[in-house]
Amino acid sequence: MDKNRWLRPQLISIFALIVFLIGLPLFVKAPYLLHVLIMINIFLLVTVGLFVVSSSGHISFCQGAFMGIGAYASTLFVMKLGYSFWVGLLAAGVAASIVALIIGYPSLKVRGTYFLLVTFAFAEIARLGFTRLKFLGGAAGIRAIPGPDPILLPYLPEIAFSSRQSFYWLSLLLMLLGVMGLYWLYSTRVGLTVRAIRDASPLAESIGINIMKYKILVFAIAAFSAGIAGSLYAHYIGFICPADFSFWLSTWPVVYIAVGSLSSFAGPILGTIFLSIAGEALYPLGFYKELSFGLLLIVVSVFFQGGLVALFKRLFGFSTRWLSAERS
Amino acid sequence: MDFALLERVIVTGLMLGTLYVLVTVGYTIIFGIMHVINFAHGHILMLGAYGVYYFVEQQGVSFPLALFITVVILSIFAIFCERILFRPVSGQMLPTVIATIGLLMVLESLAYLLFGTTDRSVTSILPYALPIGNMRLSADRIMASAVALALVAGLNFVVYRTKLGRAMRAIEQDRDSALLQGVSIKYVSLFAIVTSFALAAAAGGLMATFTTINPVMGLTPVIKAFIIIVIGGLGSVPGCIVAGFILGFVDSFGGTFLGAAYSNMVGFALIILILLIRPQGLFGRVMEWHG
Repeated sequence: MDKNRWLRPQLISIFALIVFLIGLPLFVKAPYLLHVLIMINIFLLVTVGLFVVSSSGHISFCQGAFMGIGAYASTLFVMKLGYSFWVGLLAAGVAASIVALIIGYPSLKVRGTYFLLVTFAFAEIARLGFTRLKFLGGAAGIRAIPGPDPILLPYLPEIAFSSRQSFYWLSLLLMLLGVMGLYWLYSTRVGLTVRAIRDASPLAESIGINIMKYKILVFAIAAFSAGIAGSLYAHYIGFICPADFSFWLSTWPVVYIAVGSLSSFAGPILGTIFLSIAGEALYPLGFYKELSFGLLLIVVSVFFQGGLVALFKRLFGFSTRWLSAERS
Repeated sequence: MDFALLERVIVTGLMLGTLYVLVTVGYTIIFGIMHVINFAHGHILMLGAYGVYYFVEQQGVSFPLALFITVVILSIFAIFCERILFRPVSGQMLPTVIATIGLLMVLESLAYLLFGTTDRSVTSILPYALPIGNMRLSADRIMASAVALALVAGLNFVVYRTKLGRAMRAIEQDRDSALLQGVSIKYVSLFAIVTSFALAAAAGGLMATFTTINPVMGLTPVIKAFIIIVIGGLGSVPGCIVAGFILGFVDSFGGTFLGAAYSNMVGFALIILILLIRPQGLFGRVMEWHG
């Protein structure tokens, strides 16, 4: 074990980045900018979860559906069953992963294009389910979802989440925990096994890896993180309806990864941040925004398949391990 | 069960089935030849509907001519798309998905910019109702189903009875051997994409008379097409026809007895069942994308 393990430059820079992110609301006061940052945090949970699934060679098109399941589960726990937000948050993750286990077993029998079609169909069916089930509020959705409950700790002042600033910190904390947890998963045995399944499925199977077990495991973990994101979204916005969890919500994470990079852990993070900010910046253009986004996607997929990560490397000659050595 | 109800379920199922097949068959041939999942397929259908709307309602052209012009324009658009979009990404899964999602966004926003956000409709071409058994059906729908059936039969003839069709099936079954036999993949791919776009445009134009036209009308048919493809087997034309009618009957049965949204869930349950029993689909062959 390296003695200076904690002094490696990339760890220091990540630490500095985290400090910067924690301190951000002290400089950024505009509610709109904080809103954008909160949404980026929420979406990072969804996209990075999807990235871990995609490293097994399966592009899942139903992260948005899992987000919806999480949002509805959490809302039900808090508003119908009277539990606190924190129970609802956990229930959101658990509910999404249970559904992922049920859906995952049949659908992970097929790969690639087939899996993509099945998950896409599931996302649409889930949306119809939200619309049809009476106790979920139908197409009108659920209004007046309470924010997170304050935390009461002995000897400390009450930690409340009434302001947008404090919600930013909450979302940041969960995002960092989620992304770090997923990074740990990706870079240790599970992640390596999953990548082995993608690269050489028969070989992996022949050396005794239970392929199905690992595929379902990462699928369920990604659903868990999407469920958490869904719960955060519901209690942050305070209103959910089936139209929120449409085809597009499941499509964006895939787009973020493709624009970021499919082969590096930094890909989904860069893609989410870049496209979220670009989306907000181009918002005043109305339908021309969609048009330019569409053209951007065509250009990226035809000319820049390495995505933003490859572009960064070319522009700045980045060679930190985080960006480059993580090549699948 | 009431006999009249049964009759209604069967007739509706057949009519839905023909349209589903028409939408899906173009989709499945692109995949069979180029291994491209075209997310924008439903939006080509939407453009077909808008094209017919534009020529019939705004230019006063007769319906058959409007349909023909629309199909020709979108076939030319297909050649353009093949060159700049489908050919560079063909065969790579994620780039094709992203490129066609990009195309979808471009087409959708263009439709909004050109035709606005209000729903459009085309006045009925054949404003009668024909008695079929105990029920009366709008002549528009019957005409649409009949034309759809004729188009699918025509495509089936091309695929199974002509040299071009043989080349298509050869590429679908074994790309390398087909190349060795001198089959021009470029030429066949181009034909597949043009056919696919033309069929989608025709489906949209035919549906224009009895559905509301808006820029997002293509999404539901695409989801139906996905379900049909998984049930029938990716890249298989007969599978697509059989599964299209199965889903037509499921939707008509479900729509009559359970309500439209639940019938979609029955369709999804069918997918799960197929995946558990026969993951390659009813008519599909086991290929590299089956785990």
